[in-house]
Amino acid sequence: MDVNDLIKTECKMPDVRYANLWDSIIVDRSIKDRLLRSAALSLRLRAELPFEATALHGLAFLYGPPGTGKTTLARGLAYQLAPLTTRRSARFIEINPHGLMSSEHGQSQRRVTELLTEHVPSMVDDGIPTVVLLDEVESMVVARSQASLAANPADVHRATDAVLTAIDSNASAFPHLIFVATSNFTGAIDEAFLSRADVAIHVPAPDAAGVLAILKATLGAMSVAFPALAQLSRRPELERVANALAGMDGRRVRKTVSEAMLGRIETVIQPGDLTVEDLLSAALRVKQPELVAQAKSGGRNGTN
Amino acid sequence: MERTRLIAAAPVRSASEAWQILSTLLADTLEQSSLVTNGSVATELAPLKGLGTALVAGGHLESKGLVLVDNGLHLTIRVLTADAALDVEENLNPVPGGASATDGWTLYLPSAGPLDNAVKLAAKKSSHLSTNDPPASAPTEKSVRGSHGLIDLDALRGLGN
Repeated sequence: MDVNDLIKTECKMPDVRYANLWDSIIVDRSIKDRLLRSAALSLRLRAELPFEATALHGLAFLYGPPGTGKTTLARGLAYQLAPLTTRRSARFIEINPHGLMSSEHGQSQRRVTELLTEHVPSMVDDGIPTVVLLDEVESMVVARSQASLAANPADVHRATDAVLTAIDSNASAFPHLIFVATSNFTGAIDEAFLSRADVAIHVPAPDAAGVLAILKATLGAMSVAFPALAQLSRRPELERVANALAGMDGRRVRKTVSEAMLGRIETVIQPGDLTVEDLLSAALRVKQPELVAQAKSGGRNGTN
Repeated sequence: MERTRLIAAAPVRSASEAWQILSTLLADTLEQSSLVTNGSVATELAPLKGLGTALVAGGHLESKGLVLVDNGLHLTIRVLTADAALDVEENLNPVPGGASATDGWTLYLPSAGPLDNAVKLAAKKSSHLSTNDPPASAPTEKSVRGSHGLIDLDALRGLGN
């Protein structure tokens, strides 16, 4: 695979396609504030001080359960950052980390080094502040302490080493470069990588208030095509639905709305006819497998 | 950041072709910068015409190589021959850091045995060529690190608490 093929996305902000990503994720405001402030502070300090003074690597780490918006926040960060820069511009690059890994001996390390120390720096040579997304980073920085002997550990070590070396060298040489890594599996990530993160931000599953906000936002967005849903989004009974869904990740909460629509043929034909009862039924349906799994898990624990 | 690029000469290609590729790599890298005008690198390398090919053919660029140094740029280019040339993985893309090059770039030439005098004479013909020992590292990236910074503090204040 050519190293060019490892770049999923490269675009300069402001780009209208990225305008709504940040706001579409409903999380505690402090999460967004920390991410944006850490990026701004990193650019501010690293542009004026050497690495020896700041110890900043330009690496933010977002972790938490799947479906909570980590990747979307990272994708939206450059858009939020652009108006804060002196050039009023920022670049976003997304890397496909799975393409970096190869079963060929030594290839993973070579690709990582070429991508992170040659290719990406060439792309950002114009000095424009740039956010590089390393999504599902556990696939490229495998915890060396847990590397299996059966899985070619020498290559795993070398690839992880290459990532760490690249982050170290870029930290100093390219102060306008910020990496944002995301993961659902913090235990699988190399400790040396985690220790290089300037900020580690937990993005949790939403509580009932968060679920309610996500439901309202989803119905509000759909009301563009089906105006009756705007009225539904204001119904106080939605709180019952939110309470039923509390603890589920945002992605599944959003999907509950379409799950509710497919509950009746009438709402498949006319989604605007959706009711709170449809949503409650759907909430029970999507929660049911989770409750069953929890019950089974609890049963096993009880017998052990 | 210190970088190294390797170029294959004989038997992969002739010495003159290898020198041409090296010259193109230097020009492609430096002329990304708005401060280095198109064609100026070839002009500054002109005193090495013929001599560069001799340096490659004599194996004088195998171990130490040429060293390009500028603002945030420290690039060693080695030209390999024989078995080493067959194994080399070439990367002939412009080198990162070139876009912030200045018109103060310097190419350090290695000592070349019997060609030493010719190299010194050539170096005297361009302010961008030197036979001194290259510095161990590149100067700080002044274009980024400086008083102007990357962040607009007034815009940042607008974020509020």
